[in-house]
Amino acid sequence: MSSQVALFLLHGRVYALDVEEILIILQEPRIFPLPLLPPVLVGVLIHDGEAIPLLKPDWLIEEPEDSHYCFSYVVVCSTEFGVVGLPVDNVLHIVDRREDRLEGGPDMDDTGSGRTFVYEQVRYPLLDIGRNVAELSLWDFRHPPPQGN
Amino acid sequence: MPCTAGMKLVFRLGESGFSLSVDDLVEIREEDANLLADGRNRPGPYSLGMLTCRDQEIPVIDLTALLRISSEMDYGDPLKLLVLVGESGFWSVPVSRIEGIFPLAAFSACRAPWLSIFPGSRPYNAIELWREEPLVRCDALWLEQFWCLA
Repeated sequence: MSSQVALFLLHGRVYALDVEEILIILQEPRIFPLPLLPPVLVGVLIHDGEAIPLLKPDWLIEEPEDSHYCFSYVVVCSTEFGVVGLPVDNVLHIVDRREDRLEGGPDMDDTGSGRTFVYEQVRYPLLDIGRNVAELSLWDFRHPPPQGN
Repeated sequence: MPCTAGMKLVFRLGESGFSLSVDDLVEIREEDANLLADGRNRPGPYSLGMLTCRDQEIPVIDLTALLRISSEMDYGDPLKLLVLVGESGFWSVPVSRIEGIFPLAAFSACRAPWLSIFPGSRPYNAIELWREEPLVRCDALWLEQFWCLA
């Protein structure tokens, strides 16, 4: 387990993410649309010959949908289901986990991990990208059925 | 006559880019945009009408509906149509833009392992890179299965 946690700004809030999950952070990569992507994806970016799906942050943090995504960075993460990108406004700090602590609880955050990272007595929701990406495997492009014309 | 063997056509539907082997392509034609507005026979859910091509009536298929690309897309006038060859004969597709025909060397493999995690078959299963842009790799026979069975 990594001993570092990244703190980043997303939709005006600060979230935490285990550095171990991060492969690379890219500044303003070009995003391409592809048809029949799950509705929770913005598009794909190309990195090292691979098309990497980009998650909608609204879905990940259960915020109201915002069709205008203005982000400066993409945090590319490795998960059990593959590599995905998370758009963020800014990466604020990489902090040593041992300096502070993780807390768990059923109602502590809206990120799916049920955990928060406490740093300098401030609680930050800890994102669990892998858990959210796992839900993607349940998506079927045929539902709802196409309308045709 | 120029040799097009082993070449690919690059076209767009809206903002999305696609590649297609010229082996699947019968011809590229331009038609009056009213072709899609005259409401002639629409035999299937993805059919936009019929087109007379080489003394045959062939279906004009709406790939934007099949691929769920914005339904408000403007194809422009004149209408650019690809006539493709499938199992059941010729069929055609209106496209937004044709970028050109390029040698295979202009394309490179693009890994997209996440595509395989989705259940069920889909109208495309591969992506390739052209000028650092990901393109949906089309196959006329494979696409035909989806609109024929709808």
